[in-house]
Amino acid sequence: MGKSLSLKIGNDLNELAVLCREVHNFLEDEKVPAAPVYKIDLSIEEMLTNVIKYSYDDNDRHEISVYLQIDPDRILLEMRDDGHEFNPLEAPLSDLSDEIELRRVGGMGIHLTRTMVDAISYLRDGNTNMVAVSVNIN
Amino acid sequence: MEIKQLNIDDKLTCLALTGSLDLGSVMAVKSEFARLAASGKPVLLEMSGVTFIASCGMQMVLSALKRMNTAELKMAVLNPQPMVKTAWEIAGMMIVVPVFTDQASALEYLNIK
Repeated sequence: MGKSLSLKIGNDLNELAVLCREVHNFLEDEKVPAAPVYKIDLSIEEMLTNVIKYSYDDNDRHEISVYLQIDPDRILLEMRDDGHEFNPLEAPLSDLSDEIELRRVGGMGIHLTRTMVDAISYLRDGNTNMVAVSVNIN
Repeated sequence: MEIKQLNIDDKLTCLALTGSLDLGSVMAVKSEFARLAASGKPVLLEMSGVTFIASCGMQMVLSALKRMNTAELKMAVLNPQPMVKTAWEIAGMMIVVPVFTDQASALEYLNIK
């Protein structure tokens, strides 16, 4: 098993911004090339921004966890939250012909992530959403 | 993330962006970006120094363009790094804010003679 990192944040965009920097610095310290670092950075920011903005109806604090593992040939990323059931693989693709006024932030971010990573999967386990992303290193 | 205004033509607003256009930096600079882009002139974004862009960064650009379009002004991107250009293309941003690798072609698109 390669080197790994586990982090937890609340459903707060400021905490997400800090987490994104920590993950980026971890990958750079481990000498991961720039392209896979970009794809992991993007996946975390886009997926968890959606969770924080749209997955909760209450004002309570919810825990979101991130697990990252660097293998010799790939990076595995797992993100878990207890928000509403939401499968990003079933979300409608962003319509690239949309006029500016119609473009949606969430749709664009999911489309970007699904297109740029090498594999993505979703699992609903009890009241937990789990999105797993794999990015090849070379 | 840093925004620097360049003076290359008085009929144009040229903004050089550097750093990462991620969630944290966009929250910090979007008001300044909107103010600088709302100049009543076409806008050229020099992006060779941008190392990362997420959808929030693209939305920052689209919001500024939406206000500009009421005056039928255009916006263009110059010299993005390969991964930034790839993300720009996948998101469909090329349709509304095209990318150029030479300044002359960008100025021609923006109708700067």
